Parts: sequence; structure tokens; C-alpha cells
Amino acid sequence: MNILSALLLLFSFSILSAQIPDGYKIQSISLPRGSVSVLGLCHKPDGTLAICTWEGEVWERKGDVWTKFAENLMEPNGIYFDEKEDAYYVGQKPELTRLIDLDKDGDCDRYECITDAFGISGEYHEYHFGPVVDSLGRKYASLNLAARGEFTVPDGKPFGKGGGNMSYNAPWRGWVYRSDRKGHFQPLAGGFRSPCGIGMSPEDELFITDNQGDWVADCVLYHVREGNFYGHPASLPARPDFTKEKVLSMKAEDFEKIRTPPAVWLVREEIANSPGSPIWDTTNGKFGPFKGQMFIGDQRQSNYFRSGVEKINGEYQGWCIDFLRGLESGPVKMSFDSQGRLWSAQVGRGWFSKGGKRTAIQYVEWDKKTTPFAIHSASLTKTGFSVRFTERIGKKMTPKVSSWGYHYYSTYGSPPVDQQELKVSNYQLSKDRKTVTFDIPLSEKKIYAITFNEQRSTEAEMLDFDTIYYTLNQTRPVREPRPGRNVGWSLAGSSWNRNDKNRPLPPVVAPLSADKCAIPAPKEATQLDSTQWTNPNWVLDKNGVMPRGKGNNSTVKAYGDARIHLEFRFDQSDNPDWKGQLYGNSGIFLMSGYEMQVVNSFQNPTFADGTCGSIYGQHPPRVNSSRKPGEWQSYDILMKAPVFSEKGNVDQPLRVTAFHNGILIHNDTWVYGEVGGPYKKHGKRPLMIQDHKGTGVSFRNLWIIEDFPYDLNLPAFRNTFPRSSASSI
Amino acid sequence: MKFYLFKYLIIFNFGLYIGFADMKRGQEVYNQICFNCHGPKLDGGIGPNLVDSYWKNGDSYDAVYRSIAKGVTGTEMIAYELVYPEKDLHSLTEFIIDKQEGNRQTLRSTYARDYFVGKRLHPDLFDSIESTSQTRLPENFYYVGRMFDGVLRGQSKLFIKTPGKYRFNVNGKGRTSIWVNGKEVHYSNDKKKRDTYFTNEFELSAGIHDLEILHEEPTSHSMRFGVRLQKLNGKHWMLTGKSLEGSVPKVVRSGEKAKVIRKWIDGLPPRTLLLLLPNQVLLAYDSASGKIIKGWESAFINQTPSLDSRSQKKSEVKGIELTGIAKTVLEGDRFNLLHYETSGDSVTIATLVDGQQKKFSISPDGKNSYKLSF
Repeated sequence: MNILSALLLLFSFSILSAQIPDGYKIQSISLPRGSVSVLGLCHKPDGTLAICTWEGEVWERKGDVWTKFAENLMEPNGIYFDEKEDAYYVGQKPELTRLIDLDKDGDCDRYECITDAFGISGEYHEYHFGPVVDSLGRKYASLNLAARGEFTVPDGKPFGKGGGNMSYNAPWRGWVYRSDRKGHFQPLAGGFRSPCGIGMSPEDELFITDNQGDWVADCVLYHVREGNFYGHPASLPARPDFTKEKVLSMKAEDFEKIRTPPAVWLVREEIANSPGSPIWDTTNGKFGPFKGQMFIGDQRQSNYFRSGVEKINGEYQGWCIDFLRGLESGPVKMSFDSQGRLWSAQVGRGWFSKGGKRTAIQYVEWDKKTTPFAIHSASLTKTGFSVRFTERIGKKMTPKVSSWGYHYYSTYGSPPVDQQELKVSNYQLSKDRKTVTFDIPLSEKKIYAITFNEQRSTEAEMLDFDTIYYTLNQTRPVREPRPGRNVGWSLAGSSWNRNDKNRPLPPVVAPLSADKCAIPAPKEATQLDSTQWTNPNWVLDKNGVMPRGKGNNSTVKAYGDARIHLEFRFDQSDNPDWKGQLYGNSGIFLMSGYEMQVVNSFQNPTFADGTCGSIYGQHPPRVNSSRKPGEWQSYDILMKAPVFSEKGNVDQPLRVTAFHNGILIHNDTWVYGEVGGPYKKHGKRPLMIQDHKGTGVSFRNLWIIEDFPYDLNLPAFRNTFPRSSASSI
Repeated sequence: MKFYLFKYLIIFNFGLYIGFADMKRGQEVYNQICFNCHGPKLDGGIGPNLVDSYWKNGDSYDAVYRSIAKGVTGTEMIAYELVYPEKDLHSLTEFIIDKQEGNRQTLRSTYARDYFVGKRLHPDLFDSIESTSQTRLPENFYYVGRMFDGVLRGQSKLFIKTPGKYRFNVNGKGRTSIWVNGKEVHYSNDKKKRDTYFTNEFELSAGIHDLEILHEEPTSHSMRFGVRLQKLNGKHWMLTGKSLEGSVPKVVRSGEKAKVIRKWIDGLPPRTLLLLLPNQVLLAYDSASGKIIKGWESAFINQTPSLDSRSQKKSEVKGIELTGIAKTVLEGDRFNLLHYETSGDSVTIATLVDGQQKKFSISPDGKNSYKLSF
């Protein structure tokens, strides 16, 4: 493009309010007649577009014809089409619902309640966003707090102006959950305020955007890891180790110690005020030079912006930059179609949207040839930043860099704190003229605004957006820690690696009393007496107690689906060397391959997925309900054997529901593979108890009911023991 | 056309009904065809409500006439000039206009504040300055956008059917001046002493009257100003409200197929399944307790209150409450809804009760009852 065209372009940009990068175009499509405020959209493989509306309807668009698929729902805030199940999922206010067209006439016949285990109080702000889905087909959704209610956490500050304090009115509000299948509800992480944007990356990592408000200094993008706390204290009472009184007695400094900071701050006004759901560019180049980046729409700014993250010291942090402005309404959900066009469901109702329209559906497409001149991404170096451009830059322009921080407190939003202009040094340009690196004084817990004023490309193109924002939570360590080896399976959706020492420990709760845990063996149960075991080194004494012996001990018989009960007791030890994984270690190997950890976890911390009751390396127990060494403890396990296809693929994973001392520690848990490696096709296999280095542990009262149908017995099994406050699911 | 224009002038500018058009004929035509969609009581059905505040296509005589004669594109409202002669269409229009009561033909203008500083609000002030916006509102009550910063002037007509004494009830912030037929009947200003306020009762005859509302308050997220027209010992009408921001009123009525509706209704648990059967019986089934807790006949659901803004308001059930309808359908302690299905005129609900799967169906029975089967 020559100078003249560039100048004309510059001039036209100054009179247009929209800012659309070169090569991109926005198109609107007509909406079906009637009350329509679009809250979600998705594409089916055959190209059908489906939307869900605030008024409670689901519409399908084939070609340019709209037909109504379902109606009379309650404010569905997200729609997903599950190809395998040939059904839609919507996050209605009261439940996660699956919509099935049984007779394939284009009209929904069956409305299935997938889960409604979370609470709703009837307050309008308790929206339900999602679902998004991981590669295993499991659904994730987020739950808003209420705008009015009894339980707010003001931490001594006066009621905020223009927003106030959000309230926890019902169980699990302010949390994100996963539902593995119908009837399953697994809360993953809490501390959210108004988590309107939920997205699943192609690597099965869950990301959520939250809105500025009380306890939330500015809009944010979080990388969600199971068990973390993300900052808004009102939702803490959902955890068994917190009560409302305890939360009210705590201060901001206390919450600061336990919270996970955002991966990216989405700077208000410049980038976002009400961000929607992130989506990843998986179009393989059909949408321009931003492969793999996140695209997020903001309801107020009526824009799309881009974001990316990198792992620094094992935690995600990253950048965001504006991408496109001038949408008609407020984008809240996005979807790429098969042609690589980025569609958004937009709504400007209830909250202000710069676009002005009540609702819209638009898509943005790339002409597949024109590369816009833009700041592509930014990365942290040891001494500064490295900023990449999409095209070669012309005259070198030193960027302006400023930084600031935010307060973390109960007040609505935070102004920038400790703003500084920073001195750029050691400016370097790469040989291909696309990457600029420079040094700058780096401080942790700051946001850096890097502005390339008047930077042009070699073709004299201007940048549409000249500032990229980088959230610096941590500086680069000398050596990036190596993630744990996942032995062939990934912890999809939870985002932890095996044996990660940073994974939050399960909350400690009181076990049920021994008398309440003592349940008689049903008559169908087989007592696993001395005749049932193969290893002679494990001797059952006259009291029926079997200490751990040399070598693993397997049962004579092989089992599939089963109901198992066993009791164990750790030898007491005063030796300070016997701690962590060495204090009474063994393991219950379901079907000889899937380990439920046995180790003393009473005042003996160890890594989360090695705690007593964990599915070792995969799932920490929901809670740590250990008794002390010297006292008998119990496991009550219901397990479903994995189902393999002809070819040897896993059709259905191993599932476990289990109690430790009468407290639920596994909730229909999805097991990712064997403790030592990925799933390998097998049939029934013996139950095995592990021999392991460490102080002594003994077993007694082991019985099993073989071929015990899992799904049929699960509802009753969940109620084996009286409910405790630790079992709020 | 000129003849009819003249007639319009006579009727609406002088508040007199001269009677060239035939109201009885209008009623006849309505009962022949219109009631099918708009309801025997004009309160809507397949077609919109003709006696509420929402007039998307205009509520003036001309606008109503045009809607009838030319139809409304994109809807089932056809051009009835192809079916009826002009005289009949005018009779029908008269009939519909005659059924209207309350605030109509609402024109909202906004002005910059500067001119009004230190001046007592008065209609004459507006003669010499230009408005910043002027909108004929499709919703017949006054509202302004978020963070409105200016002076509001509303001009509309009051359609009165019952003569008698009327007054305005005004609450909220700022200063307000209300004029009826050229006389000030209300003034309040929260920055001044209370003894400067007044709210007079005034007589209104049956017919059409001019209303002018002038209002100014500090900028905020939403207007904190309410005006109610009250007939002494009689009805009242809200003249302020929240806009649907482009949505249209929505009701859910019985159809040929049974419907299961999920809406928040006051007094019902938020997870209630509302079962609307083809015989217009509505049952509130609480899936968490296995009980039918309430029922109505001739029922429908008005979703309109929940359509504005953030859906802070609940939907409402309209109908005649059935007594003695409460019933325990399933006995147990723990209920988990599995699914519901509609097929033809019945609804089937599957639930886990204490771990066991149970299913039941509900279908219409007669005019005001239902059948339950397992």
C-alpha cells in the first residue's frame, strides 16, 4: 500500500467509529421475528447455526431460514451442540438441560435435567453460563453471585457506589462446576463474582472471564485450576473448611494469601468492561495470522479483543490487545464456523453496550489474503519484553511503557495504583524485522502497557491498536519448572499435572464417628478372608487383622463392577523421619491397576493427589477426613469397571464413588487411566493391596460384592451414611 | 378520505363522539374475525393485546386504521381492506379506540438542562428552544435511557371513560410539573420547601384530554420518578415504567400441545415446572418435592414483566385459581428430576425418587381439571 492510500486510510479511520483491521469484514444476519435477545450460539457440523435467547427460546438457522427448536426455557445463557449425543445443552437458570429431538422433526421433545444440584435463590443476577466441553465430552458451566442478599463480605468498607457488594444466597454460587454426565455435579473452583465468560482451550484448559466489581479490581481472565480460590470471598462458605462466620472474620490480607491472581487483566475501557466467553482460533489460518490465540468479545465496548498466555514459573500470565471495534451490540458468546468465520451472539439489554442495538448476530470474516499490520503478541523475557508484529516494521520506534497495580479489597473496582512511566533500554529488532525486544525494570504483580505510537510497517501501514497490555504476576525464573509426567493421560479440565506440589490440599474435615461408620456387611458380600488372597506374606491373624506384608497382595478372584469395604490402621510412629509419603503407605489397586491411596494424612501433609483417599496422581480426595494413626479407618467404595471397545479404546472410563470414614471423597469420579500409564484393554482383574516403603499399616474387615451394578446402586450408595456438613453435594 | 379526516378532527380534538361511524358495526366486525387472534376481550392471544400500553405500530387513530386496512408485514395480520369496505374499517377502528383507557399517543422530548436553571418549569419555556430528541414512544408510559442527563417533556393524551375526580400521585427525585388541558395540577420540587408543592384534584369528563409532564432530576442509572394517575375511588394508571428496550410483550397461552414452562413466578419455587395443558389448566409441579402445589383454569402466563432490562421482575400467572388442587404425586425424601416430555396433549415427567425411577403423565380432563396416570 503506498503512502497516499495509507494517508487516506488514516483519514477515513478518523471519521469512522468502527475500527476493523485490514482484510476483515463484519457482516450482520437477520434475526427471527419476535422477542429475541441472543445470549448464546453454536454451530452444528452440518452448518446449522443454533441460538438461545433471553426470552427462553432456541432457534435453528439452516441456510437463511429460522425455525424455533425449543421454547419456555428460563434465561438460557449458553448453548452447545453435542455431536456424539445429537443433542443441545443449554445453561438455563435453574439447571443444565439437554434438549433432544426424539422424532427428528426439528422440534424439541425431551428436556433432560443434567444437573440442578447447585442452588438458586430467585435473585435475578444468579445467571448460569455455559456449558463448554472438554475432549472427554464433559460439561463445564459457571454460576453468578446474587446482586442482593444476606451474605456479603464488606471487610469493613462502606457499601460501594454504583454496584455494592455481591451476595452468596445459595449453594455453589460464584463457583465453576463440571458435570460428567446426567446427575453428576462436581464443583471445581470458587471465588468468582460474575463469571460470564467461560471457555475451554483446545488443550482442555478452562478459562473464565470475570467482571470488575466488589473484590475485583478490573475485568479479568482466569485460568481455572481445580481447587483454587479466585478472590471473591462470598463463595468460600461452600467449602467444608470455611463457614460464613470464619469468612466474615477474615480480612483482605487473609484472602490474598489463598487466592489465585488472574492470568490476564483486561484493562477497563481500553479492552473490556463486561467480557464474554473466550474462544480459540483453531481455524488453521482461515481467520488470519492469529493461530491459537484467544478471541474474546466485550459487551460494553462492542469489540473483539485478542489474548494469549504463557507459563511463567508454572503459572499462566499473558497479554491482551484490542482487535476490532464497531459491533452492533454487545458480544457475549463466540463460535467459529467451518469456514473460519468468527460469529458472535450479541446483546445490549440490561447493561449498556456501545454498539447500541438491543441484540445482534454478526460474523467477522477474513479475506484469506490481507495480513493486517498489528501487534501479534508479547512475551516476557528475563529483563524485559519481546513484542512480535504481524508484518515487518519500518522505522524503529521506541515504545512507551508504563506500569501500575491494583488494590485487592472489597471496594467496587480499584483505580490504578503506583503508576509509573518506565525507561526502555536495549531496543533490539530481529533480522526479519518482526520482533522487537527491549529491557525495562520489571516488578511483579503489575500490568504493563506497551505502546508503539506511530509505528508503521515497511509498507507504511498503521497499527489499528498500538497498545498491548501484559500482566506480570511473576518474573521468569532461572529455570522453568518441569511439569509432572502424566504417564499417558492428561488431567483434562482440572489443569494440574501429576503430583504437582502447588495443587491445593483437600480441606481437612472431621470424619464421621466410628459407630456411624460401622455398617454390617450385606449378605451378598464375600468376606475377603485368608482364603481369598494370594500373597502368603500377608497374614490374617486370629483377630482378622492383616498387616502389610512383603510384595503386593492380590485377591484370588478377578472382579469388575464392585462394592468394596475395607478398614485400615496406621502404626503410630514418633520418628520424625517418617513423614509425607513414608508414614504408613499402601494403596488399594482397583482391578489391579487403579490406585486409591492409603497413607497417613492426619496432620501429615503431602502433595494433594497423594493424600489418603486420592486416586493417586489424578484426583485428590474431596476432603481429608483422616483419623489419627492407631485408630481404625474405613473405605467404602463403589466402582464401575472401564468399558473397552472392540479396538481397545476406552468407551467408558473407570468410575469411583467412595467414602473415607463415612465422608464422601469421590463423587462419581472419572478415572483417567491406570496409576502407571494409560488405559489398556482388560477384563475383570483381582483387587490388589500395595506394599510400599514406609511405616506399618494393617487391614481388616475387607469384603466385596461382585458384579454390583454401579449406575443402579449409585443413588442409594450416595446415602450410605448420614449427611455431614462436609458432604454438601 | 377528506370526509373521514374531518370526522377524526371532530372526535379527537373536541373530545366529542359524533357517531358517523357505527360502533355497533365495529363490535360486529370484531366478533366476526378479530377476536380469533386478539381475544374476545381484546387482551390478545395469537395476536397482540389491544388494550395494553404497547403499540409498536402506533396507537393514533390513523395508525390503528392503517394496521387494520394495510395489515402488518411479516405477521399474520393481513390487509383487511381486501375483505371489508372502508366504512366498516372505520367502525372497527372506532370500536378499538373506544376501548382504550389511560395514557396514549405518548410523545417524549428531551432538552438540555442549561435553559431551565433557575426557572420554574412551565410549558411556555419550551416554545423558544429546540429539543435534543423527540420520540413517539411505542410504549405508552414515560421512560428515559440510562444515565439520562437533561429535562424530560412528555406530551400525551388521556383517554378517560369514567368521568369524575382525578389526581396524580408523584414520587421520586427532582422537580415535576404536570398540566392537564392547559392547567397545572401538580408541582413538586425536592430542592424546595414542601409548602411549595401542590397536587390538585381535578374533574375529567369522559373523552380525550391533553396531558403534559415536565420533569428534571439528577443523572443516575435509571430514572427515579414515578407518576400515577388515580381516579378517586376508582382505577389508576402508571404513567412511568421500564421500557422493554425493543422487546415486545409476550404471553404463553395454551396450544394444541401441552407445554412445560420454566419461568419465575412469585410465590413458587424457581425450579417449578409449570404444566400448561390444552384445556387452559395450568399446574405448578414442584419437582423437588413431588407435589402439585397450585393450579389455575383459563390460565396463561404473562412473561412481559420479565422482558425488560436484566429480568429483575418475575413473570406472572393469569387465571382463576383452582382450590383443592394441591396433591402429592410422588412420595419420598429425595427427588431428582430426570426429564420431561410433551407429546400431544399430555406431559410426561420422569423423576428419581429415593433412587428409584418413577414416571407419570398429566393430561387434560374436561374444562378445568387434569388426569394423572403412572
